[in-house]
Amino acid sequence: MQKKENNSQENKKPPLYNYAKYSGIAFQMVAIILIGVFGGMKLDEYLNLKFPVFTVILSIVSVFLSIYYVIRDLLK
Amino acid sequence: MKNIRFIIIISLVLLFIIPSYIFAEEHAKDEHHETKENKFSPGDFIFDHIGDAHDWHFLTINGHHISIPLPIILYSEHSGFHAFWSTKLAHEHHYKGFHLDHEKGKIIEKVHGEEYLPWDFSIKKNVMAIFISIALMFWIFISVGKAYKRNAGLAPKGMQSFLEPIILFIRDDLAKEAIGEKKHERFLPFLLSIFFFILINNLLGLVPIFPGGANVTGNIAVTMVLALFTFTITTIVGNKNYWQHIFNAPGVPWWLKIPVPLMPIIEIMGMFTKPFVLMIRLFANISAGHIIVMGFFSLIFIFGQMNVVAGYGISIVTVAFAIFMTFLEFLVAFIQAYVFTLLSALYFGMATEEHH
Repeated sequence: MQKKENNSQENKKPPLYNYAKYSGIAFQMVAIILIGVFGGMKLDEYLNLKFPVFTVILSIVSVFLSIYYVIRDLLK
Repeated sequence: MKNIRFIIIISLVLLFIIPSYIFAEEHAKDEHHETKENKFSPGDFIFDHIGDAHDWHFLTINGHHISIPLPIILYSEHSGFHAFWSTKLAHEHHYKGFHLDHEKGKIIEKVHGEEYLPWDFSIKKNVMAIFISIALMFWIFISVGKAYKRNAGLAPKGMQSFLEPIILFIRDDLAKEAIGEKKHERFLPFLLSIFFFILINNLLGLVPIFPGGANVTGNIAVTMVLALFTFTITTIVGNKNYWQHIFNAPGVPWWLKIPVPLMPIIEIMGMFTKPFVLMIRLFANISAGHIIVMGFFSLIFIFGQMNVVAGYGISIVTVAFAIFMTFLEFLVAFIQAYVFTLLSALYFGMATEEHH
């Protein structure tokens, strides 16, 4: 009984905590992918490359990165 | 609740797209005897209402606009400072070489036939709405503060008894839980200010007439500034432990930090995506609510153009739905103000957390 009470004390979170935490995940993914793609495009423009290497690499990397962030937030 | 909203948005979008295809075909047929200006365009109608403006529009009677003029303040590189009322530019008028481009929503200066963009420091509709809400907040909180002095030790009265539970809720259930017993007090002024600023502007946005009707918290510039406050405070109060977690996170294998600082880059990106998400969430939720309500009203005119009786018929349904949505928006106004405050508090809590 004592233990249970302690446990609930520790896990006490402000109301709507989960809503606040998870409602931003989609926007966060979008933000990360946008940063990746936009950064890649700008880098290609800056380096004057014929084939947009950085756009391709960074957009793929940012997709994985956004998934990584979601998993990290879920595990926390 | 989010799912309902999503379904409503999708069905509204479909409702707008499908009739516009039907109209497009009809339009092609009788292009000769119908000018484009008579057509009701829901997109323009909605974005006119949720956007910012140089005057505060009330209503239109037989094509005659009634609005409150607002001051326009301009700095032009060619002719210096200018200040005049927005009525000077109404109805496509030109004044001192300035005119209002309705497509861009910006004031343009014409010098020798060439167009320039002046610096626009005008008190636009949203700025005016912010001033009004600030005045309202001062009035509410100063009067409540005085009431606490006047009946010290007595039970709260009137406005006091409405605000006291909210303030205590933010202090005890939000700040203390998210930041911690010791440090929460120094953040309370900011958290309470931001909560009431967002709440009052959300609620004023739901009032259809002056002094409401401006879409302040649904303006991405406003939410960006609010998120920027949170970001700046988080960065300034961040302690050793916080920065260590960013640049040299414990429990992470060394090859993720040297020679390529992969983890630090990811963490630094996280620093910026947090306030970005804060900005988008408030903006998207409030704008979506306004768009839905305006969309319901647009339906009346869309059906009314097909058939007058259909327009009257659908108006009963859409008004009922709009009232329902407004109640939902009332709830969302509180929830979004709370969520913004909660997340700000969580970030401050993360920044000031001690090593354990």
